[in-house]
Amino acid sequence: MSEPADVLVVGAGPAGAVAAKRLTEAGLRVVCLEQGGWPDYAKARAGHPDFELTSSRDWDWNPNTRRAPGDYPVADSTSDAAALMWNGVGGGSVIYAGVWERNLPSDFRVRTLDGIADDWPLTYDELLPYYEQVDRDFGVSGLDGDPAHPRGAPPPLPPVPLGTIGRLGARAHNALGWHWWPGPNAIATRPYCKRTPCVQRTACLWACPDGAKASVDRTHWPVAIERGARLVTGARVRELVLRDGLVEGALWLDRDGREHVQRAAVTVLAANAVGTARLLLLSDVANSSGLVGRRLMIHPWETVTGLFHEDVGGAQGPWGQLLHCLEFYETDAARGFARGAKWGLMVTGGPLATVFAPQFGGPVFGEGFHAAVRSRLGRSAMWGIVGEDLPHEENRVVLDAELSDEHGIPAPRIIHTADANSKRLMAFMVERARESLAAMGAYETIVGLPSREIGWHLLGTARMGEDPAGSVVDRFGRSHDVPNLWIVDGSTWPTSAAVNPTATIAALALRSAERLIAVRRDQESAA
Amino acid sequence: MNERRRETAAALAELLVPAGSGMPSAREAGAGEAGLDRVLVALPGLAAPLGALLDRASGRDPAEALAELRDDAEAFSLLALLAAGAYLTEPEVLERLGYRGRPATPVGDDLDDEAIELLEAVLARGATYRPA
Repeated sequence: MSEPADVLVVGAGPAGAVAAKRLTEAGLRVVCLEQGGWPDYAKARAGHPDFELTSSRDWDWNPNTRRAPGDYPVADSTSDAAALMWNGVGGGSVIYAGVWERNLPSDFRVRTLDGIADDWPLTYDELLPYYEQVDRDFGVSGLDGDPAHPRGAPPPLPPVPLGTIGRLGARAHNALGWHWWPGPNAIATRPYCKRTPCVQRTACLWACPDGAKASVDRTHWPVAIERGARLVTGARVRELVLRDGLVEGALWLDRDGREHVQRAAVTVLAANAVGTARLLLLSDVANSSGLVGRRLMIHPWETVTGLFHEDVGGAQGPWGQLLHCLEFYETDAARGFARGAKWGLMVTGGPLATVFAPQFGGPVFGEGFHAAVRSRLGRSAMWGIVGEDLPHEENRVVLDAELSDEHGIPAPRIIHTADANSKRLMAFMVERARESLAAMGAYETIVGLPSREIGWHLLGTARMGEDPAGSVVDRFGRSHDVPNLWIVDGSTWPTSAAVNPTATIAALALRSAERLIAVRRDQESAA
Repeated sequence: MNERRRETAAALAELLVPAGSGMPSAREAGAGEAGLDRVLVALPGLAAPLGALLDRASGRDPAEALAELRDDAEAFSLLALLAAGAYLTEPEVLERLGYRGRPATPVGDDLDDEAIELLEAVLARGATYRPA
């Protein structure tokens, strides 16, 4: 049995890393259990001729097809979206695009403003200092003054270049009278805290070989470990250990199936909305509300690609976002749906992407092959559209009755169907995006192939709230039922917003960690 | 991959990627030779299923074999990956496409006078968020 820690963190992705780093700064002894391993950047082949072939082999987004040592199966036949995640040190930040977006003030007041769903038990203004800190910690690039957000401290780094695509978008949106702004990204554009600036490998989604994209295996864990955090990899947590109404720690299995127990005074869960819900259900804990696993939210995702007669630089660039557009973010009831979407203007990738990537609507073989490749390669740009998913209790994570992982631990099953509001919302956005690309000079627009591989943003399965009867954790992520159990990942979100969630997950995790530090003398603990 | 499989690979690939528009066919670009090898070095897990697919199609009229494969989604996507993967990693093909790969290209700062003017137009339209 290992020496007891002050804090046990389950999961080494962005939420766990942010919490661990802050807690070690405060002098707490932190142990993190992570079921995966460290990413192997020797396999990040961007810049090499075999990149497009090997990227899907080594950096697959779907654990069900990737089947890496840290992965567990996810039963998803009852979901319209597959759960995408990276089970290893760095978590989703190893394979995310680096897009960095704050929720807007209205995202914290959905019930009050739009009469649906729920309000958050905190406001944008309360989270702002944490947003600003994580911007610095992650080395975010962007441009101050975006009229789609309240003013605050500027990002620490200048934005990625607009490039040809960005200028086309800017001019078009000015002509249309629509919002645009240089895209915020967790992509270094200058040397920053041992990170080198982006050299546009166009590889963000398949592990940045150069370290320009912020991933917490690079930005946070080295610092936390230097300050004394112990990060144990290959550690699959089977269940939380309870005693007298408190979490005593976790029972975990190593790669050989041997059992270990890690005890800690406080336990923090950061295993994403699927993994955290799974663990809580396995442990049968913290669920007096009956809401653990429920209200799973997954952002709908669509792409609309424009084809241009000339090369617009679509084959190379940060894959992040060059611009973002929040013109249709806020609710306008006249549109026939509630809430909205964020658009990110992006490059479209290399030669094999022109054949297989869903944004091009499908491969063209035979006589049309060469014309299709030529018309797409470099001569295209796409809007990636993230829409809001409203919370519904029937969308949920449960323990599967039959499927289990390699240790016999029941796998999670995700049950999710996008509602009519989401469908109307996305249909509207697709048509507006077509108009945008036409205004940019595209002679043809392509709506991306329908795909289930869109479950990037997993949220809501342990929602926060003031009322223990209607929520799992309080406004700081502490369990209502178990005083020394905290949740710091996207499970706690009452509503999903319509932006990439990592910035808000990181800000909330930092806020929770600081709260934990502030109350630690009064914190009930099992140790 | 033996010679029979390589010939079958080339024959099927060239149906998916024929010569045209000033570009070689997949066969001419080495889909049965170096191209096939590149795909299998990158994706060794494909060797067994691809070999089985090629054995099934071997000795048959390529067009007929391809028509049958189109009805088998998994098999067709394997063949498509071979054909496009071999073709679009062939250096001569990429050169003809004008694709220079992803060389390290530092990001610059392109917020010049035009960009600033474009940004000012956004600011002139005012805030777009709802206070809350």
